[in-house]
Amino acid sequence: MSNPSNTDQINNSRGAITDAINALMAQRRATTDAGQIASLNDAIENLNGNLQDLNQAQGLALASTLDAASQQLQQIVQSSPKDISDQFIKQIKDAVAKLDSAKAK
Amino acid sequence: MKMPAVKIAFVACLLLLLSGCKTIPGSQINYFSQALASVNNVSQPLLDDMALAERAQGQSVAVRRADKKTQNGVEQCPPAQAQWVATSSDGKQGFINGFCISDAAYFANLGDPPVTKSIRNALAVVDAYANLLSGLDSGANITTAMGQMKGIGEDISTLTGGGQLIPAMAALTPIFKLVAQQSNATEARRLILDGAPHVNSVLVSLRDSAPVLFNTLTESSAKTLTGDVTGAAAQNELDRINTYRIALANFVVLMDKLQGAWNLTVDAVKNPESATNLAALSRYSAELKNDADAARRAFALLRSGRKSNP
Repeated sequence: MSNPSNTDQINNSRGAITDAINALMAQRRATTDAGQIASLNDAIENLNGNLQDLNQAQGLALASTLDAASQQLQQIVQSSPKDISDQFIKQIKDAVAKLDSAKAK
Repeated sequence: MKMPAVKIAFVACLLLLLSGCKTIPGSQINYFSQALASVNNVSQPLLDDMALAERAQGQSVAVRRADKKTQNGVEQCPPAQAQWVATSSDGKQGFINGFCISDAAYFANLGDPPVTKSIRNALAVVDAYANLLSGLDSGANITTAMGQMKGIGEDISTLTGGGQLIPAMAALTPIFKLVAQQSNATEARRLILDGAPHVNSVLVSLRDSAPVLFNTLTESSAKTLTGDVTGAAAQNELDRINTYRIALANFVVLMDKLQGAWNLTVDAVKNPESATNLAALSRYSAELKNDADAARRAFALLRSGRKSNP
C-alpha cells in the first residue's frame, strides 16, 4: 500500500471491530433471550457493515496505487518506437533522396 | 551506378558502429514472459471471483449509504440523491430511490468493478511490456524492415534507370539486418533499464493486494459465520475462507517468484557477462510453472464446489 500509516490505521480499526464482534457473539452464545439475541444480531450486522466500509476503502486505496504504477509502466511501453528500424530506414531513404538530388544536378 | 550502393553501405556501417555491439538477454526475457504467463493464468479465475465479491460489496455499501448507515462514498453519492425506501416492516427489504454514477461500476453487468479492474489492468500492462521485449528478441520487426529495404532497392533502381542496384542492395542485406538487430538490442536494454523500477512498483503493489483480495473475497462468508449459522452451512463457509487463504497465499508465493525472475532479467542486462543467473532464472521459471499449475488445480476445485484442502 502507498500509505503505511493509513494501512496501520485500517488494520487497527479492523482489529477493534473484530474484538467487538467476538464479544457480542460470546454474549449471544450465553443467552437464550430471543429479544437480546435479535439486538446482538443487529449490532453484529452493523459491525460487519463497518468492516465492509474498511474493506472497500482499503481496496480503493490499493486501486489508486496500482493505477499510478501501471500508468508509469504504460508510458515506458508507449515510449518505444512502433518499429525499431524506422529510424534506420529513414536514414537510408534520406541518403537515396540526396543521391537523387545529386543526379538531377 | 556503384555510387549509391557504396553510400548506402557506408550509412549502414556507420549506424552499425554507432549502435555498438549489444545483445538482447533473450533467454531471460523468455523466462520472465513464461513466469508472467503462469501467474496470469492463476490470477484470472481468482479475479473473476473478486469481481463478483467486489460488486456485491459495492452494492451492499450503496444500500447502507442510502439507508444512512454509512458515510462511505457519501461525497460522490449523498443520501438525498439516492435514498433507501423500506418496503418491509424490518426495513431490510426495499429499494434505492435514485441513481449515483459513482456506484455504476458495482451495479453494471459489464466490465469489472474498480479494484478488480486495476489489478487486471496492472497485469495487462506488465504483459504488454513483456510482449514488447519478446517482440524485440524475436526480431519480428526486422522482417518488416527487410521488406522495406527491398522496396527502397526498387526505388533506387527506378531512379538510376537500371536493375544493377538490386543485387547490390541484396548483398548489403546482412549488414542491414545486423544494424536492425543491434537497434533491437539497444531498445530492449533501454526498455528493461528504464522500466525496471516501474515493473517493480507494479509487482510489489500486486503482491500487496493479497490482503485486500482476501478481505473482499471472504466478506460474505465472514458475515454469514458471525450470524447464527451452524452445522454444514457453517462448515461450507469455513472451507470457503480456508480455500481463499490458500489461493491468495499461493498468489503471494508466485508474485515473489515473478519478482525474482524480473530481478534476474534486470541483472542480466546490467551484468551481461554473468552466466550463473541464467541457470537460476531457468530454475525459477520451472518452479514457478509447476507451482502455478498446482495453484490453478487447487483453485479449480473450489470453483467446482469441492474442498481443496482440509
